[in-house]
Amino acid sequence: MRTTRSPFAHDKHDSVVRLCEQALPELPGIDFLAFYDRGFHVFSIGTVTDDERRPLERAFRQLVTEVGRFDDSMRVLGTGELMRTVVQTDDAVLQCGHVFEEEFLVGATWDLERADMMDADISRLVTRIRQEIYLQPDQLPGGRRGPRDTPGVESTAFHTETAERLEPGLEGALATLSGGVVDVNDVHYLALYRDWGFTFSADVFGSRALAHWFGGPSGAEAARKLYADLAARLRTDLPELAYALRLFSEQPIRRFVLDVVAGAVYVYPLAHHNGFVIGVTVFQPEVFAAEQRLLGVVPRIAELLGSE
Amino acid sequence: MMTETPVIAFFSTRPGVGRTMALCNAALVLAGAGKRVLILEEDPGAPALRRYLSRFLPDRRREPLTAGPDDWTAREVPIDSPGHHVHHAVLRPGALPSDAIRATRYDYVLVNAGTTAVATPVLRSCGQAVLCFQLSPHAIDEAAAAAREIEATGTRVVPVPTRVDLAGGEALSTARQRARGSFSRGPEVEIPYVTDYYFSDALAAMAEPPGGGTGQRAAYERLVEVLSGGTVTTLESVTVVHAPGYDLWAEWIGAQAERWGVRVETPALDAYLERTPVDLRAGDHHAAVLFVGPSTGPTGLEPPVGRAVRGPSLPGRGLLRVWVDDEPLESLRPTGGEIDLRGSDEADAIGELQARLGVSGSFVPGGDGAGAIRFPGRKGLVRLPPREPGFVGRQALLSALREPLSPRWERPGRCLVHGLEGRGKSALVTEFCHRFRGAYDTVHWVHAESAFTAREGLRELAETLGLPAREDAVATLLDHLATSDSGRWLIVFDDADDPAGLDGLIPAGPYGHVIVTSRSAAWDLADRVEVAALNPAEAIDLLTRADDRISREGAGRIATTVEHLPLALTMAKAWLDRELNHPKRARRTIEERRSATVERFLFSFGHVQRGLEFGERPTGVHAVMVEMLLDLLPGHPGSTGAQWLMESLTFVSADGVPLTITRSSLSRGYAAGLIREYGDEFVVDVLLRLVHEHALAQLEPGPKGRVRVHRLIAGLISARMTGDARADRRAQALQLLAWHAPAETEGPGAALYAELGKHLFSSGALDSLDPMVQRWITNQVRYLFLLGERGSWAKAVTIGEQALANWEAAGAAVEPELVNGLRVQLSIVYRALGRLADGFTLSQRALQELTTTRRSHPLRFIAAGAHAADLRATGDFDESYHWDSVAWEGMTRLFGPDHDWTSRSLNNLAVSASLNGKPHAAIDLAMRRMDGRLKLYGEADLGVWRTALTAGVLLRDLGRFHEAYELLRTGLEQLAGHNAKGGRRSLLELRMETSLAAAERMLGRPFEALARDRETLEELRSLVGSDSLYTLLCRAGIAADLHARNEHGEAASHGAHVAEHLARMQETHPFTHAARVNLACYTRAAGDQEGARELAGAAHDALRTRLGLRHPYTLAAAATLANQIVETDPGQALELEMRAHDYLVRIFGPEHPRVRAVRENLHDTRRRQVRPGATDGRRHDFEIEILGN
Repeated sequence: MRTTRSPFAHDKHDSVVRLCEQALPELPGIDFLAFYDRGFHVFSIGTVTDDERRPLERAFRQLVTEVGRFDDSMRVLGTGELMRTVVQTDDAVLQCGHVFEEEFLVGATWDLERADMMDADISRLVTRIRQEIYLQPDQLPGGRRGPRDTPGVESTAFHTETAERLEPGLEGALATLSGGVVDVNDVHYLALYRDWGFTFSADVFGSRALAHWFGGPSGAEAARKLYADLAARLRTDLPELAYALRLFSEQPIRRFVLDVVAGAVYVYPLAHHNGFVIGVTVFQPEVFAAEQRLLGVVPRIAELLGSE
Repeated sequence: MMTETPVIAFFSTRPGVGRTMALCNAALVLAGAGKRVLILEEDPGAPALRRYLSRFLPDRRREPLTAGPDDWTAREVPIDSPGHHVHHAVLRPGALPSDAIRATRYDYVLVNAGTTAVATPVLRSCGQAVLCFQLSPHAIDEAAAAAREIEATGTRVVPVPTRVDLAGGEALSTARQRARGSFSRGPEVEIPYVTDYYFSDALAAMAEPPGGGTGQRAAYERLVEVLSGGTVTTLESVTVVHAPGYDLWAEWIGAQAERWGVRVETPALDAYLERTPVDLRAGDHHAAVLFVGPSTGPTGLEPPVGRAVRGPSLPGRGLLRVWVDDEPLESLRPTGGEIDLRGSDEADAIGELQARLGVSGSFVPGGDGAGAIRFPGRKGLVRLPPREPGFVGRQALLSALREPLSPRWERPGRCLVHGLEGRGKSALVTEFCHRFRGAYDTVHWVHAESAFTAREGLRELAETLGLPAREDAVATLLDHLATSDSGRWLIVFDDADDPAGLDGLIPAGPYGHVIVTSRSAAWDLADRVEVAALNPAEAIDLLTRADDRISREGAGRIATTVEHLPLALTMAKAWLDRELNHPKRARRTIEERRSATVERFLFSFGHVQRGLEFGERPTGVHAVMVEMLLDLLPGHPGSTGAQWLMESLTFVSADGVPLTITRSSLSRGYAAGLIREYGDEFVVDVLLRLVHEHALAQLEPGPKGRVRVHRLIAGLISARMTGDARADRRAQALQLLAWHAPAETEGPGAALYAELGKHLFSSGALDSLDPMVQRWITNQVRYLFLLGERGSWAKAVTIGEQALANWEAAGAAVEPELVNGLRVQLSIVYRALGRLADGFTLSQRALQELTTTRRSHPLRFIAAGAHAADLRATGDFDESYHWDSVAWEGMTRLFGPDHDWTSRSLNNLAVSASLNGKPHAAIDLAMRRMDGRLKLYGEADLGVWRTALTAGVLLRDLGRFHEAYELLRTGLEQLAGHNAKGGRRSLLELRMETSLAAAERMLGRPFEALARDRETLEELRSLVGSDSLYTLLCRAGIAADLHARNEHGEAASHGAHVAEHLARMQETHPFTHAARVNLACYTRAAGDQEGARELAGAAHDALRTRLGLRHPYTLAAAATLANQIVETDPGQALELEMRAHDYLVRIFGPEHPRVRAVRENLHDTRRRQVRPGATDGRRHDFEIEILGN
């Protein structure tokens, strides 16, 4: 791997560069890594040629700008700042991790088999930089991996909403499918958008266990509206994100994760239906587990809608 | 009966003898002489008089010309002479109403008494009666009988033979003899026969020039002279004698007199006195001598006391003084011998001259055409240095200069005034300009010591004239001066030693004059005047003016010593004044003092000269005089400060420095701190006065006052300083100048930069490493950029590059934010000049260095914004979006969201977002900025409407055509309110018009859009030129309008022009490809399918590579390409359309007009695949609207 420092690199970045260079041999999931400070590219590490590297740095710089916009959107949800963003296309995956203040680390791999590994490696590297250089705590980006260490809680307030004039049988099928996924332990919200319009949603925002997040007289209702607003914006946000990343991958986005301080929002575009499935958890440790469950249900939803 | 007003009847014993013609001609000669004339018609049914008078009505209408008997003033007939007219009325039957005539204010009443041989009541009540008759024996006898009868009633009869054949020979002689013997007073006047007048309505009084001495008019003039008792005579010559400085008035009055047909000469007073005998100086009955000069004091033409001089007593003849100076009217009491032109406009002045001299000028046409002399009393636009107070003599040189700069505009009018330094070239030309300023509508002085100052001077003139702010103000000015719209102008390029420096700056065209003053004679100008030393008499005059303390003989010795050089003489005069006023000199008689002072001067001069020689320093007369004057300073309060001031002034421009700077609080405080001996801030005023009185500097008081040091003196002062002293003084001068650099670089507060810019080169500011001076330089570059014109940008580049080279030089320790601040500003100017690569490199370097050294410095984000603009200009839209984001976010953090910089960066970010394929984000940002500005500044804020212009395009991009239309319409209404004076519309307004037209087109109103675009195109061409991007975008709109109206051929022609010119700007820019996509639509519609296919294919590929698959431009290009190939390759067309639709629907949504259009085309393509020929072939086209920011 070769390190390339940008003309924008500052002396204070030396320690970050050294740490990354030392850590990378132990982080095999990462093919390419780039660091940005206040939108300025600082350094890159990877095996790519210069001609390949420059478009990547440019694309990742665009990504950092887009992450800033998504961060603004996420903050209104009340679950904290955006600290990890994952974008996966048909041929590549990247993760943009927020390090500290306005510093971002972007890692990528073109081997989709190693997507998880790359994601976890970047999260580890971000946490190391935070802890060792900025003396900041671990924010647990990507959540906890492994079995849950707290007992499961029974869901008490399963709530669904359906668009008018849904095909007969679809509502029930979706309710059944989501009933097996949405609960207070990890996946707190799941929604389906088709032809750029709302189709179905299920949530447990009304559960007592989530009262800290959605308590109060209009808490659950307000949260549903906020997530609906977020979903509505995705119709335009997703193509803009795809355009920003065109020098990294021109393939369609298949997975998009917005990991905030408390939980994450997951977006899985449905290519043939002009829509997507959106999932939410507000438990940070369960971010990984929640996605695993969602990844299981998304193909089944697509199947319900027709060929995908 | 007699009234105070002469009443003269015209009658004849037979009809058809030319009576009415005689009356009319007499009336016109009287009116032309400024007399008020009433014509009374005894027979209301007689047509002849009305026929003659009707020719003076504008359309020769035959309407009733005659007023009723009770209202004589109701019918005024103007004659062809300014302000002159006659009145015409019907006479009530019976005797003349003498009381009524007395009550009027007519000078003459002429009565057309018809044909009679007896003393009618009318004839009896007239003072005189003109009896017209022909020279036949019977007619003479008949007339004589009638005359006798009428004269018996007390009315004087003036017999006038008419239709006299002057070629009558012996018969005429006999007839004349008979007539003389038949009347109590023989005929004094006879009217010759001229065929033309009897076969037309022409009148000799109008058709022939006055004072000609022959012809029919001369006969009528003689008749009027007889009737008026000699008080109305014919003017035959006018002599306009003028005092120095009044040449121009003499020229103008002379030109007017020439139009009256009289002999004219315009001698200078001295020349006139020299050549004209005393007795003849004051004119006679037929000659007026007009003196133009100072309004008070003797003219020099008055007869010597006690000497009887033959002179006329008639009004309008003899010596007349013409008042032209703008002195208060009440300060002068008219005595009858003056013609007062003060405060008159040209028409009034001409009328006054004609009235007073009794002439009419209607018969010479073309007096106002090309070559006419300008009325000196008309106020012009004058920017000149003040007159040299000690200017004397030089009349020959002034005349020599006036000759090529002819009042008749017959010569090229480009004149070089050259001569060695200190010869008084500038003073001569200043005097010339002041004397002849009235000949021009514009007189402008340009300090031309360098190409920069020359351009700046011309730019100032363009600004003063209010010329439209096109890209290059100087080019606009030069274009303007080449047209008659500019009026008459004189431009002086002073102190221009290098012809190359004025290359392309000397205005061309026949409407103005140019003077160049230079030490060099190597100029290619049509005419030249060399200025040498004064002649001895002039030199003595200069030394002795208004001062009898120096004898002319002593003055002559001093003048010889200083070689008759004007500057040295002025300095010598100052030395003499100081010496003669010295309080410590011993009291002596005037004679002794005169002699002693001259001797002291000559001794001092020799002594100083020897000292200089000994010190191996320059020993020329100017060097000696500078030393002599500096030697006088000790002993005066603040004398050491005076030397400091002089040394400091050597670092400012030759144009001097304004008193607003030298006497500002900053300068006062600085001087008081340096010069302890005087003790307070008033030391500056003392010093200025001191150096002025010692002729070392010239102090011009007043609100626009300046202090100037002659370049020769400045050079000598500079040469006598040591190296250390020069460095110290320079640093102090720079510090003072830099202190005055305002914080604002735009708006009224920034005006001082125009002044500071003059001193950049003379002060050596560009070499300075003083941080304060460096900030001034950077702001100076920004100020020049914000002036918004190419000439200023070029100057900004020269300044910026020179300073940057010095700051970047090895060993120069310059603060990073200073050097990078300059780089940022310079990059902005490069971009404005189209030097995109240079701008890009510089802004990138600034950004890099600021990022590594000052991570949170505001300049870093300003640099990011500048770099983003460079990237936008080169078509790197994604990168520009990134840097605009960095800039906006950084500025928001540092300055807050409402700061002006933040707000501006938000607008740029909206533009970049749109160009980067983010239409929704773009409109959100634009609306955020608009709302923010509206909240803070209200609707009057121009920033609101600048963003509205951007928002208009963004709304249309999103298919929100109505919203775009309403927003732009509101914006235009607001801006029209800003521009209530009815002047030219601003670029912002015109761009909004183009944008509004696009909204109209998209709303399905291409007719309105085309009309609006065409009108706007003309205004844009006039405002910013044909090649401007904004003009091209308007033309692109016209192409789209025409296409929408199915005028495809013309649309293709306009579209091709736009694509070609955009390619010339930047071949690979996305805008160029976008224009080609549009052109492909028009070309195909015009019938060239092959050409359209090639265009669309190439543009699509280029956009695909440059902007990526998903960019809206690429998608529009794909849809357009599909249209070109749907017939030949429907499979590929389908693929392109499917992809375009898929991405477009994600960006814009399914109901966006463009998405619907692609969808319908897609269906059409599918139908074609299934059943070829099943469609009507109508498909949607896609216009890419180029944002252009």
